[in-house]
Parts: sequence; structure tokens; C-alpha cells
Amino acid sequence: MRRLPVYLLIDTSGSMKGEPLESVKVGLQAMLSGLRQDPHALESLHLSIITFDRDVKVVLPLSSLETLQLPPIVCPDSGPTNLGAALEVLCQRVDTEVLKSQGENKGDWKPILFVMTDGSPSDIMLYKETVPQVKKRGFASIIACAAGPKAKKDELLPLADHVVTLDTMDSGSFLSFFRWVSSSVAAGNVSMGASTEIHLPPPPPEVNLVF
Amino acid sequence: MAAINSLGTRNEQRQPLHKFLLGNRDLIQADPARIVLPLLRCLAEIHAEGKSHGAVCAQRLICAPNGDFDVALFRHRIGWDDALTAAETYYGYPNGQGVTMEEQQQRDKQALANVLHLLMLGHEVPPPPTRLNVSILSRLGEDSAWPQGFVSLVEHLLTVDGLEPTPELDALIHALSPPAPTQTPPPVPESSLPEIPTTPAAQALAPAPAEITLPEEATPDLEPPAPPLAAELADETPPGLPSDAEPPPVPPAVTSRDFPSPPPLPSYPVRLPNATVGREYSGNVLSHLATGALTFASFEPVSALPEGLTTNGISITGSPLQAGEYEIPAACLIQGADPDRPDKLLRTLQITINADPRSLWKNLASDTTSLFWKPDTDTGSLGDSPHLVAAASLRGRSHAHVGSCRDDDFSLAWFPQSGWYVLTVADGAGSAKYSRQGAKIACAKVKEHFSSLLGENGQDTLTPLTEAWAADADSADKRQMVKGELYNQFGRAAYAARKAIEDQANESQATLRDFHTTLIITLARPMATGGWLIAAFSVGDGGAAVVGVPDGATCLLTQPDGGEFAGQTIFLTMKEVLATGEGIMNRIKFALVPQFDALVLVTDGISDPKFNSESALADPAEWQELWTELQPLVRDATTRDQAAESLLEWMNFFSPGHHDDRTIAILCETHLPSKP
Repeated sequence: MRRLPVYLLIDTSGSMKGEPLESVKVGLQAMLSGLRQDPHALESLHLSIITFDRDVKVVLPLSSLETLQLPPIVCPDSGPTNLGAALEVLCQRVDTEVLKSQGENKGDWKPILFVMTDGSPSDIMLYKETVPQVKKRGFASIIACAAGPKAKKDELLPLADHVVTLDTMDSGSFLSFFRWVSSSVAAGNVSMGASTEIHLPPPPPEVNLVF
Repeated sequence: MAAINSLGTRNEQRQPLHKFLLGNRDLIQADPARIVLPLLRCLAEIHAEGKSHGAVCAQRLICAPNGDFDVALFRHRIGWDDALTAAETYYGYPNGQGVTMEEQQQRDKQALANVLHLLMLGHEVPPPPTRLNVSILSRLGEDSAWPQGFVSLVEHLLTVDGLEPTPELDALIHALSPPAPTQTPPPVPESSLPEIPTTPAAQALAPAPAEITLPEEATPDLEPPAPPLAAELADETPPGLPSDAEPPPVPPAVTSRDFPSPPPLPSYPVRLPNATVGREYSGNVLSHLATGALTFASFEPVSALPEGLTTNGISITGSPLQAGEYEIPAACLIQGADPDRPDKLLRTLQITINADPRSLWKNLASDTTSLFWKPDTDTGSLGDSPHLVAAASLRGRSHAHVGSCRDDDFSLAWFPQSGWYVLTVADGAGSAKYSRQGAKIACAKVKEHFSSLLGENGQDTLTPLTEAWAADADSADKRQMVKGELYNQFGRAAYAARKAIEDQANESQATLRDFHTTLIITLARPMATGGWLIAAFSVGDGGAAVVGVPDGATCLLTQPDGGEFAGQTIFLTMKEVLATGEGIMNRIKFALVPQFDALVLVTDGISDPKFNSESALADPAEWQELWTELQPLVRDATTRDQAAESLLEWMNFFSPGHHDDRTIAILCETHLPSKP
């Protein structure tokens, strides 16, 4: 059974506290509901959620869509945005969780990564060091979402194949974003062959694709 | 005013509610229902009288030394148990702050919510959409979160008739219920609550609530004195907070009591493991209901379970029929319930029932007007060949789901002049927009090439060399000659195919990448010696094998080009594939076999689900197994066309996660007559 591993990195730094995080949770729930309507996702998709603030937490280890339940996601009152540390953890997780074809083993589909942040990496040195490591992990696509006015989309460009921005951090924006994630995942990676990119569906109005 | 006087004589029994609750937290935790229920009932009754209670019951509610806190007791102690109406009972209570009664009652609710919140502090705290404008909280800090909907929770609790267990009340009691093992907190807390602002603005934010503005002198004879608030709060500090947090806003007082930290707020409602339509489900509900020290003996659903599921009061089993998100209220019997407490709690069981993925696959017809359209299925068989040659190609579910075209293709040929069979399959890349045409061209061009070589008027260079080798199978030289000629012919066929695709790409103003396709070519011919020569050339995934060779070793004719991840392969249309002679040579395999059961070619839509790994693909036993599945289909067919149709039907098998196009071509002995 070939799995489609999808990693979600979610910013839980202090600035996400309150409505933004609540909106993210609602968005995640909507994303799951959407994915559960997609037969390909239901059979193949495995999702992992990693949150990052001062600490990096694997709140959901790679689990099949069929069995997974959304974990509680909390935010400290304040704290830095340690995206670099999160990427380090991500690389470790990918190395242990994602299967590659080898002899008796059948490989997974190429993993997909979504990163959502409302700021910029606080651990900028580590972030810059880790980006090339992430690139080596063979992601079919890395999509970064710069949410809200304080998010620095330029910082995300070296990491991501696609950067999208959300003008506001309200529930409508996040809902649109996660629905779009859901349709990206559903559309992508289906008999991808050697394609190096997934085909992203056109984003909804709230989600701006940065070129 | 007798009532007032009577109450006044019992001042020693009274204390502000929040102080009582905080000071007797252990009592509350020991038996939350006993405290919380009457408390709610008192306030509900007061409000039902059209009054507010400025002190939020604080001054007037009476608790017994054992912590009983109870309207009945209150009435009893007043001595008017029988005669007293609610109006009389609550006569003389001070009104709360606020201009209108509604405002005053709202203040009551806020204050009660505040008290309850304090008891639960340290639990999961949602962010503050609205801040609690009450001094207690402002002393905690401006950033202290006011649990979302807490006032409305209290409002709800106050308006519930009969105080039957409700989910809200249940959750509240549950949250206050005693933790399993009593842990002794550190004697001196290292820090207080995080992020406590000391700004006086916080104080200014809020109109002082009733219970705070009431002068302490109103209850000068508190017995026992309530422990200072700050000390209580310090005790509630969750462990693991940064030690450099702000100091407590109120100087730490002597901690008079060590309270076990309350259990976390149960994730309420209770979520059960996910189910899937049509799949056997078994979930032990009791193990999911249990939290902390609270365990349950059984449960009884209050509403119907999702169709297909049943329960024995302990677990839910069955095979669900309908996908969806379900919420099932259930009355849950507490294990070893205290006779004085409600023995049942209401829980809402949540269960996600996934759809059966099979039911979600759509079958949308492809758009016949799209460029390079091809039918969603195709079958073919050769009519006049001595052996049965049949093929079938089926659009995968992943394409059917979105109404896109089949990308696979095949071609079959037998040349009576030379006796050669040529079977070809190709798999267009799912990611390339015109790959269906790439596959089609590749198959057609291969057939065309070998037709010009082996067909009528062909300059057949292959037959003499192969016959020579067959007659002298041990000759390395003769084998080398065959190899050289296969290299020439397979190479030319592949080049011709790629050239034709390039031309097509140029013509369509597209790139070669848009036509990415794999290619598997097999040649087979019975030799004069009685054996067969079988040869194959492949680019990409899928596979071809000769099944049932007596030596048991000869089998896989192709070396699949797989990547480290699923779905990665290479294509005929990639520059590097035909770039070097060695590269082409490595793609060729050939053998002389004395006899065989079948030659089978499959695209990855079949090889992926049928072979678990590349090792399996090289295992003759696995191919034999596949042939065992296929053989009856062709054996039982009454015509060659029907054999192909049977293959098409078979290819519709379901394998989770494998929904690519499927194409198969076979060559085997047959009893079926030639087609007219």
C-alpha cells in the first residue's frame, strides 16, 4: 500500500494565540472533512502535524486519514517562531517515517509539505542551514503560507516551491487556505509519474499565490 | 425581618462563595456534584424569583462543616424547611450591581462563572475573545483567559430544569472531579501564573464585581478564615513554567493547604476511534469514557446509533452503513457510584464514519472532444495467429474520477512470413497532458518498425541469426550476433517511436515532456528446434515476463526503472534514455526457452497492485500466481475477442491506492479457432 505522506507545519507562536489559532483549528477540521470525501486521499493519505513556537511538537505523527483524529493544538502566550528547529524535526520525521523503495519495500509517494506561519523565523541561522536539508528529502512539493500582515513571505521563498499569502488571519481566510490544501493534496500526486511538481488548483480569492 | 435576623445569627457559617470554594477546594474535588449542584440551584432559584444576588450567594449560602452545601440543609438550619417558599428563603439578599435586574443577574452569572473558572484554572484555557471584567481575574492578569462561553455555560446551567445531568453540567462536574493519585505540589512554587501584568489598567478595566466590592467587614467573623487568594493561585501554577515568569501580583502568603492539581478538562464530548462504512468496527466505549478516577460500568445511548452499529452497553460493534460525523448522547453509569451522587452522567459520543472509498470513486466519461482523445477502454486480439494474442486496456479510477483520458496503450502483431510475434504496451505519464498520444504513437511505431523488418517484403535480418543461435545454443558468438541485431532493431524501433512523438509534439506546439510514455516491447518466435526465442526491451515501469519456463529461472524480461518513491520512473521521451549504446543494451533481455505457458506484459497499473515489491516482480512464483488468475479467463473464452474482453473485465479488480490505468497483453497456446 503506497502512502501519500503530507506534513503540516503550523506556527503556534504567541502571535497566533486567540482567533488565529482557533481559525486554524476550524480550517484543519474542514480540511479533514474535505479530504475524507476524496477516495484517493482516504486510501493513501497519511498526515502529520508539527507545531512550532519556542518548542517544536509533533502533535500528530504520520497517521492515515482513515484513522486519524485532530489533536489538541495549543499556543503559548508568547514566544519565538522557531521554524528552523521545526524543519530539523521535520527532516528527522521524514527520514524515519517515509518509506523508500528498496528490495522488499515498496516506497511511499513523494511527501508533500505545507508550512504555515504568521511571522518570520526567529532562529534564522538554523532556518537557513536547514532549508537545504529539507530540499534533500524529496518532497514533491513544498507550499508555504504567509498568514497575515506580519508574515515575511520573502523568508519563505528559499524553502518553498510555492508561497501563498493570506491578507488576514480570520477564520474565512484559514478556511479557504485549508480547503485549498485539501484540494491540492487530492489533485496532486495521483499517478504523478516522474513529475517533480504537483499541480496546484487555482487558489481561492483569500489565498494569494506569490510568483 | 425575622429571616434576616436568623441569618445574621449564623454569620459564622457564611463566607464569600469564592473564598469558600477556594478554601475548601479539596472538598469540592472530593464531591463536586454535592457542591456545584445546590449552588447552581440556589442561584437559579434566586433568579427565578426575579431577583439578583449581588454576592453571588456568597454571603448567604451556608455550608456545613463537612462541606455539604445544600439548599435543603440551608432551609433545615433556618428551621423553616416545610413552610418556606423560595421567595422567603432568599428574601433580603442584596441585589447585585447594575442598573437593570437583567444586568444584575448577568453580573451574578459572570461572578459564578468566575468562581468556577478559578476552580478550574490550570486546565485547558481557550484564548480570550472576551476578557473577564472582574477583579479576581484582573488580579490574575489581563491575559488570563476567560474560557470561551463560560458565562453562557453558567447561564445554561441556571436554566436547566430539574438539574438533570446535562452535557455542560456533566463536563463541569467532571472537570472538578478528583484526580486519581493525589500529588503533593512543590512546597514553594517557583513561579506564579505566566504573563501576569502588573498594570493597574487591568484593575481599571473592570467594574468591581459584587463579591469583591462587598466589604470584608460584612463577614468579620469568618470561621475558618479563607486562605489568601494569591496563595491558592500560586498553588495552581502548572509545573514547567519558565522560572523567569513575572512574580505574583500579590505578595505570596503562607500556603495553608496543598491542593492536588485538578485533572485536565476532559476532552468533551468523547471521541471514539473512526469507523469506515462496510468495515467491521469494534470500539470499547468505556475505555474512552474513563477520565482520571472516574470510570464507568456501562453506557446507554439516548438516541439511535448510526445505522449498522449496535452496542452491548460496553462497546460499539458492527459494520456501519452511512458515512458522516455522528454525535450520540449516552447516559453513562458511573462505576461504584456514590449513592448520594448522580449515578449517571451524560456524555456525547462522537464518531467519524469514513465513506467506503470504493463508493466515492466517480466514473466520469472522458471528453471526446479533447485533443488526442481515446476510448476509455480498448481490447484487441489477433485473428489468425497460431497462438492466442490478446490485450486489454482500461482507464484507471484516478482518471475516471476526474473524467480524464486513459493514458495507456498497446499494439499486437503477428507476421506470418517470419513467424514473429510483437507485443507492445505503453503507459503515458499521468502528469503529462498528452501522454495518451505519446503511448499510442509509441505502440503504433514499434509495430510499424517490426512490420517493415519482419513482415511482408521485410529485410528480415533477425530470423537467420536467431535460428542459427537456437540450433547452436551454446555458441557465445551466435548469441552475441543475436544480441547485436536485437540492439539494432529495438534501438531503431525506440528511436522511431521517439522521433514520431517529437514530430507530434512540434506539430501540436507542445514539448516532448507533454508526451512522456513508458514502453515495453516483446518479441517471440517459435524456432525450428521446437523452442522459442523471447526478447524484450523496456523503458520505465510495468513489466513483462515469460511464465512457466521449465527451468524455473527465466521469468522477468524487463528491469523496471523505479525511483526511491512510488510512481517515479523514466520515460522513452527523456533525452538520456537512448543516449548511449550501453544504456540501450541494458534495456534488452532475451532468452531461448524450450517451452512456456504464457508471455505476459503489464503496465504499472497491474504490476503495482499485483507485485508487492521489485523483488516480487523478479520472482517467477509471483508471475505464476498471476497467470493462474488469468489462465481460466482465456481458457474459458469461446472466441479470441472474448478472451480479450475477459481480461478487460478482470482488470477492474479493486486494490486500495492502486487506481492507475491498466493494460495487459498476453501470448499463450490456444484451442480457439482463428477469427474469420
